[in-house]
Amino acid sequence: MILSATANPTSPALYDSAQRRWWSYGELADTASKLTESLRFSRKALIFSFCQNTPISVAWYLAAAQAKHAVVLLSADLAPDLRATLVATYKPDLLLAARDLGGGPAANGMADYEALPGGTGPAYIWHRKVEHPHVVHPDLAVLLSTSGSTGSPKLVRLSSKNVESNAQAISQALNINSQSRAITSLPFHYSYGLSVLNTHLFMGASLVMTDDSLTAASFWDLFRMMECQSFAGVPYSYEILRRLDVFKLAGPTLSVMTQAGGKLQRELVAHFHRIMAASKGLFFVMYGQTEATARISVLPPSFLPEKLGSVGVSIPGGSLALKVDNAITREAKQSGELVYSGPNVMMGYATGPGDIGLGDVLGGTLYTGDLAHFDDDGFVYIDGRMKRDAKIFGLRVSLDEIEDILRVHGPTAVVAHNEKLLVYCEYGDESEFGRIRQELANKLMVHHSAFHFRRLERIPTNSSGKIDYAELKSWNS
Amino acid sequence: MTNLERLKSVFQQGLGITSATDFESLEYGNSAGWDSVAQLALVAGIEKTFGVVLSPDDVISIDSFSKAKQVLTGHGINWSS
Repeated sequence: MILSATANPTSPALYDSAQRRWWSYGELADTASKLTESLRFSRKALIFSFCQNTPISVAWYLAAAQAKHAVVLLSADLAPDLRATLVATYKPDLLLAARDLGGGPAANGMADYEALPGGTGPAYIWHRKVEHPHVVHPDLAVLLSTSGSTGSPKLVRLSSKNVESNAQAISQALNINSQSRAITSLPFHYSYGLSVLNTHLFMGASLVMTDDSLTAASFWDLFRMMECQSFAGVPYSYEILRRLDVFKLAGPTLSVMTQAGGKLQRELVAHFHRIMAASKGLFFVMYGQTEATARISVLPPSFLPEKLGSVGVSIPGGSLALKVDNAITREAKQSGELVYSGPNVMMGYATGPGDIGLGDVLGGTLYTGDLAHFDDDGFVYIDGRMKRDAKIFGLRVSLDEIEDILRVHGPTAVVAHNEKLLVYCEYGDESEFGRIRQELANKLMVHHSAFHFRRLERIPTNSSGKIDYAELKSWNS
Repeated sequence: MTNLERLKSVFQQGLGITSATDFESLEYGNSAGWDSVAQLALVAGIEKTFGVVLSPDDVISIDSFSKAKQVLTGHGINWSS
């Protein structure tokens, strides 16, 4: 599905940092084909693949696609209890991993599964002892989680057309070609990280795979040694990079940086554009959602600094408009909900096994849930989020879910502001907030520094007695 | 509070750990929760607590509790009081 059909089989595809060697396109294709043998099933199957940044894990993903099954990509590091919830909810036919999933069978939802023998190298597969009679839609190819951390069972349903078209469009927008070389700065079970993998494999380019984070010297040693030329990051990646000497760490081959996964503050966009431009490199601001496979828009670097703050124009093949008072418009300077149409718009969501048989319910049009406006040149500016979720450190968190968790302590209102979660409470003192902060951090798998507590006498409500979020937001603008 | 206690507190905050920890054994890669977000929290905590400005080299080199001590020693922080 995604593997370049024209890449030379001897060209490097994925660098295996554990084995310290490159996998060629030929080896990757052969391994995927061998693994496909293990995926024979009486019908189209629903598969969970627990991913790591290793070539074998990628080979499992490719094998599932080759076998034309529907594969849910999840982190191999997903907490065992969250894993158990997802497995219990969806009852997948097969589980795949690149390492033994560890722990006792009952602890991580594996009791209904048994390991199949064989597999190639460190490739593990389990099948469900008692098959759940799934009806998997013929177009369903990849499913991705939207929450990343809370084990919410909501998944995005993507078709092969979604995946291929987005890989094609992003490659075009970023000028990715067979000479491109990226590094896994993001995990590939996450839509942004998956799009880096997909675009590079699609174009016959190469990708260095590592589990190291960008604050580790070893990450950058690898970047320099393998002469990577691009880096993809979310807003907090750039907060960190601001503290580092990027060119000293990355070396002279760095020529492209891309940013997506949330809104990067203007000062940082300006900073990275400046330093990249100074070395004849490019800094791409992009916008997207898992619901549109990965990316929706791109700001061509030539429009910086002029269009600072904009997320650009639609990627090739798509179009953007606004919903203003029930009408769709492209008029400048009006604020409305950003609507995207394109071949990469998801088929829809799934919240349980019954949804796996559903087809395309959106018909290629996505109401993004973001407020935006166009300038006179048709460039998009995101003004805010309409829905009750936020991007924190690159992960989507549900604000309502946080309120639900905290309501046991008393009346609570949560809003997001500049990658921070502001928690307004009609209760508590510093030491209680310290405890609650840690509780939230553990539950949501978000660093506790994201939460900022404010004690209030009364949370503002509107005339219908509901929390007045607009009022709370106005305190912070 | 001694400087050592202050540094331990920064690590507790940054890594979300309790006080009952062998701090000397803490290192990136071996400690749960020490990801890039935690790194930024450690850097910010160290700078705020000790009133220093860490250089880019400092930021990338702090991969253990003892390394943090070393870096701070280089900034003139004394550990005996």
